[in-house]
Amino acid sequence: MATVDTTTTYSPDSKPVNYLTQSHGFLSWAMTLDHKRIGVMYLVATSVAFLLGGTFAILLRTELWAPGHTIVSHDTYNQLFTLHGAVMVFLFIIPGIPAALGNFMLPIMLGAKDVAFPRLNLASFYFWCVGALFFLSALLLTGLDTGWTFYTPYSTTEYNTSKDEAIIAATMGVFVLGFSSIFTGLNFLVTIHTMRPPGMGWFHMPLFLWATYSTALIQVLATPVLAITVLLIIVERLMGIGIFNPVYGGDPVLYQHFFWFYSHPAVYIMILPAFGVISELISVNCHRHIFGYRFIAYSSVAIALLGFLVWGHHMFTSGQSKIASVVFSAITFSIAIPSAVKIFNWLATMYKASISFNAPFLYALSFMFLFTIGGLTGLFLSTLNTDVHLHDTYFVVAHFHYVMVGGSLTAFFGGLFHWWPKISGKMYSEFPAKVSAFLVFIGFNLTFFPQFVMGTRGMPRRYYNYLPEFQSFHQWSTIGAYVLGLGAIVAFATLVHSMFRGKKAPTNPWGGASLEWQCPSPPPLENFHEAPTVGDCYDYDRLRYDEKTEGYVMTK
Amino acid sequence: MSDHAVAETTDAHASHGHGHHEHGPFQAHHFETPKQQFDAGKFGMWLFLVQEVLFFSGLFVFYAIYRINHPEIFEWGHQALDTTYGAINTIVLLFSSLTMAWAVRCAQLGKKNGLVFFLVVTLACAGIFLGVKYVEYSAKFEHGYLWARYFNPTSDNPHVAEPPSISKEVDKVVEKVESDLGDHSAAAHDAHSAEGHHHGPVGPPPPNAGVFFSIYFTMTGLHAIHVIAGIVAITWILVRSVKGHFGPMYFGPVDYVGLYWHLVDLVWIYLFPMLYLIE
Amino acid sequence: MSSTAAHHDEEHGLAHAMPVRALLTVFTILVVLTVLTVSISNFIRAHEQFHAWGVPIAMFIATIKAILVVLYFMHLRYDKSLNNLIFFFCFAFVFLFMIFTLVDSLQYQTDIENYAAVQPETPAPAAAAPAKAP
Ligand SMILES: [Cu+2]
Repeated sequence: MATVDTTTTYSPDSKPVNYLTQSHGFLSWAMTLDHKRIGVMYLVATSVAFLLGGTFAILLRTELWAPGHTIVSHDTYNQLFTLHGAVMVFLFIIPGIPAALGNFMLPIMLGAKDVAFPRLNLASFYFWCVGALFFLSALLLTGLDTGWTFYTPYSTTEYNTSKDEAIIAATMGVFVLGFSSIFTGLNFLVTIHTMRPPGMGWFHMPLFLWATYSTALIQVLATPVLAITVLLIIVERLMGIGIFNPVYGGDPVLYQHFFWFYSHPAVYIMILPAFGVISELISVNCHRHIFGYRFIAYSSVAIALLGFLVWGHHMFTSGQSKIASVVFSAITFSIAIPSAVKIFNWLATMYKASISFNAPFLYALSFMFLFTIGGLTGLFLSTLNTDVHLHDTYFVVAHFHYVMVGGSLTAFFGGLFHWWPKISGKMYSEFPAKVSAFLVFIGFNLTFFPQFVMGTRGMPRRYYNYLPEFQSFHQWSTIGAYVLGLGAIVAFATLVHSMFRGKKAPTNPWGGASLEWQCPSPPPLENFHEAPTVGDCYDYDRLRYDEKTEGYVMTK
Repeated sequence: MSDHAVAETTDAHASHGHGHHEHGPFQAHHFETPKQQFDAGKFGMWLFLVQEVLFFSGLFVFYAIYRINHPEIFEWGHQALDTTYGAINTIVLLFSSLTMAWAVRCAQLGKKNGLVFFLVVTLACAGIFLGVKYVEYSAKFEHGYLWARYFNPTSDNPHVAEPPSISKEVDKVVEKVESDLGDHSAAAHDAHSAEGHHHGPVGPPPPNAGVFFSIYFTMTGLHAIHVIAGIVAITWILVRSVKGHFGPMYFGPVDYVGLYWHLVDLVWIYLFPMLYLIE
Repeated sequence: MSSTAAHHDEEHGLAHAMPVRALLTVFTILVVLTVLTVSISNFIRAHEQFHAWGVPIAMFIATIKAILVVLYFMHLRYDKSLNNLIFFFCFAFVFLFMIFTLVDSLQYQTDIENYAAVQPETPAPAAAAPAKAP
């Protein structure tokens, strides 16, 4: 709980000191224990990873403009899709919302001074950096073409080229990134459990915290299994223990069990924080109490736990037994229920509300549209017999991009615009931000909707070459990728521009009622000059628009 | 609700104002009380142990699957392990757990000398454990009881079939290990088998027998890495105890390292019957 | 443990301190159980008819030992219920992981055996040809 701290350098007479101006120099950032600075460093780092992964995606789509060779060789193409997947999943989506936005917002939303273990938090960030370096070395070594899933025996075969080292570098990277993720999750769980202020019970927390809590639960329970799995791959390659290698009586299908025991729950590491962001965006911009608070909160936990029971739906065609497939298929359907609970509650919140159509809200709307499509096409894939037809086609590619890009990426941008005034202390300009939201939405659909059609017509994923009848779909998809890329660039440019030219942000520009809108923008070192008032974080009747500061103020 | 909450907040705030100057030297600024800091650290440590359990679970699942599908590999392979060494290590580790728990008690009661003494004993036990492990590993290397790729039993047991092909790499590994060990252990081994206590496997190895040693080396190897990490952690605690950092109001780190050490013991409690006893 | 009555006196500062007598008792039980499990294993090795009991007995004793370590050496018995919950809860996930994987692996094991039985006699390309013929 934040309180007046006598050691704080703040004094009401002088220019307020905030976390950005508290201290200067490279080391003051590199060695910082402040969750806000660590959050900002994550934001920069994951954004760079996003741009890198995005560049790979643009190259991939350009290559697919025409059948056969267009700009790169088939080997380069294989490496491009592997690195696109691995970078986007491990370096961007998984840490994106929880580690960047979560790190910044979580303690402030709790009215706390910092996360429970600030040193561990900084260590997590450096683990991320080391993991990223391993990925980079895999990129420079060239030859990594296993796909981001590192399926055995392809990933354990001896090639006697630089591919051998590239696979070890990449799996080592995943191992280290796994620990970054585990420690972030552990930190968040402890912070939420032990550092809630007096008066804030579990059901008084903002839904973003429920979402990060559920995410953290998965991070701690599932990621260690990924760590041991990739460790076994490394040991297999270096020593030949034969665990996943049929030559020595090992079992490659077992690898897929190990991998998906983590990687299906990991899908919820990617999407649950996005749900949390959307709950905040919708409620704040509708100026209306979130509908069905408890249902949304419980559905996050339900998704986190049910997510552990469905991993076999990735293995319907990989030699998994019939019984296991039937059971996994049946349980997979159940995930649709808590996901739908969220969508319907958000819709109910919007019903008859006076909505502010700003850029974050537009991103939230596009999230709801895209995630619904992504979720519903998931039902096609969890249906056993349909999946046998659709497996490993572009339908699958389109499905998970609708969830991960249409879901997580739009929520990331939405959340970033929403909290940007708090993070940077500057208001971004609304018009280009809205343009970016439109471009992302249109570009995204243009990229991935044709892929659904291609997939149902039998275009396999990860292919370098294709039949001429698919060319028009591929070309639409490529144009869409360019538009999507442009949208992302406009979004980042808008934010960067605001840092230099933006108006000073008021404490509460959107009219949010949770605690982060009670501390100054940007917050001081220990977040609150005075103990914040803990109230209902979705009660907007307490707020009044103040013309003078162009923000909202608390009336009672 | 909000009025009530405000009242509570102010109360906490007021009481905090009093407590503020009583912060111990090791209380982090973002915690209100030593109790909050201790509870946070302890919960964090338990979550870390949860993470460790799931980390090891991969190997346990792997063991279960091979054990059920290919019991003959285990029945043959486990005879190459010496139960006596395993049992000695079990007792050593249990004893180190006792001394660690005792060290935590001393820290809680502010008995510095006891704390230092029991930490040193715990470290010594960890050292003995690794020493015994080294002797065991050496014997495996000597007889070619290695993981799948290098599995190449060269036992003096006449029942063991001559391996069909010996890669040059394996020869190099075995040679290197033998030269590292020197004459001493070779002589010891000769004496050992001369006395008729040799527990080498009986009969030719079943197909893929090397997988047993893959399991043996990965499980005990990962466990040994954890023991080494434990030694590092206990040494850190020992240095801080000598400096007199710990007392009844601040002993968290001793407790957390203790929990970690007990988990290492816990894993071994299962590894011992799984690898050495079950047939 | 006989220490439950005494442990209120040991309530000290931030957490419960284990009495020395309790620690020594637990350690003694652990050593006895270790000796027991080794002798049972030796007995079963000598008597083939009890072979099937080896695994369940050894794992049962190991579990008792583990529970003793967790409850007393790790103080979990006197710890917060949250720490109890999270630690025992995680074994549900281990169990889940093990059961699903095991069930599947047992199911497809026959496929592997059938494949292995055919494999040595006929190399893969030759095997594919007659299969397609009818
Ligand atoms: Cu999945």
